Amino acid sequence: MVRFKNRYLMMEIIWIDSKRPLPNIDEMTILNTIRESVQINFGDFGLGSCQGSLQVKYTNSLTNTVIVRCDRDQCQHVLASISLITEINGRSAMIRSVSQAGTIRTCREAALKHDTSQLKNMKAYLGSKFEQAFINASDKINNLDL
Amino acid sequence: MESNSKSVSHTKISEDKSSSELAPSFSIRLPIKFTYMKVRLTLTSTSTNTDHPKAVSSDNIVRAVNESLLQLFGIVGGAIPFNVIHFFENERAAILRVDKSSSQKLWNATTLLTVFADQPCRLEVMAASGSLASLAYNSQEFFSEIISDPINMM
Repeated sequence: MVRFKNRYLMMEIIWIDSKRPLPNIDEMTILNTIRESVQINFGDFGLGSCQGSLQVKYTNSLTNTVIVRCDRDQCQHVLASISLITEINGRSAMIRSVSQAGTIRTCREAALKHDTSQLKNMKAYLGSKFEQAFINASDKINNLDL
Repeated sequence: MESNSKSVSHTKISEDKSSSELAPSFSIRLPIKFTYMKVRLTLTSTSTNTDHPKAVSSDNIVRAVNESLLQLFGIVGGAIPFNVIHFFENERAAILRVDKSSSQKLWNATTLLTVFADQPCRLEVMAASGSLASLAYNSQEFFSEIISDPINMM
């Protein structure tokens, strides 16, 4: 039985000019940015070999957290391309790797821990919307699928 | 991974089974660092074949192969170092040298090179080897050369 082994990379986006309001990022934007970076750095062949399992599983605009899934053999290529991303949608940004996981369960736990601690730090800024944001984030993370 | 092994074996000098004369024979294995490829450029131009606006030179071949590497393998592939060791003017062939680890990528790039100075082209690898000596002469061409040009060959 052939198993497709995946890697779940948890990343954090750091916007260089921290002008509020921070842009609203969604899965497709990040995916297209990553694809473009892989094509520039590793060519048509690199993009073709990474594209099969490449997917953005989770994004959170408030905490700037992203979870990317990729093939285990292409993990190095994808990580390198992500490190070389300099702008997203025209705004300067850099993407920092927080952790890597081999299973979705480990990734879920790491994401919960990271996101909830980030949201707690932003409690003062969020004010009344804190509760809702907290529930949304934990719901979305707990429902993460393969 | 250096494998400079030297082994000494003995071969019998004479056919006589009772003879105990043995001659020492040495075999030395040297590590292979580069892959040498002989490539030939064929321009299949649909327009007039007599005038070629751009002459084929070693620089042009390097630039074309680099473009192909860039497109196929990205920035990382475009950084693969390779040299043109020799360029044969009359038959538009060249000998490329590349590190052994990236020889497959270079071969892929030369195969998928389709355009050379706005003309459709084909850059095929005639021979590839770890040593230059194997590319020195082609025994199959040897006899055809004798037949076509016997006076100069003899």
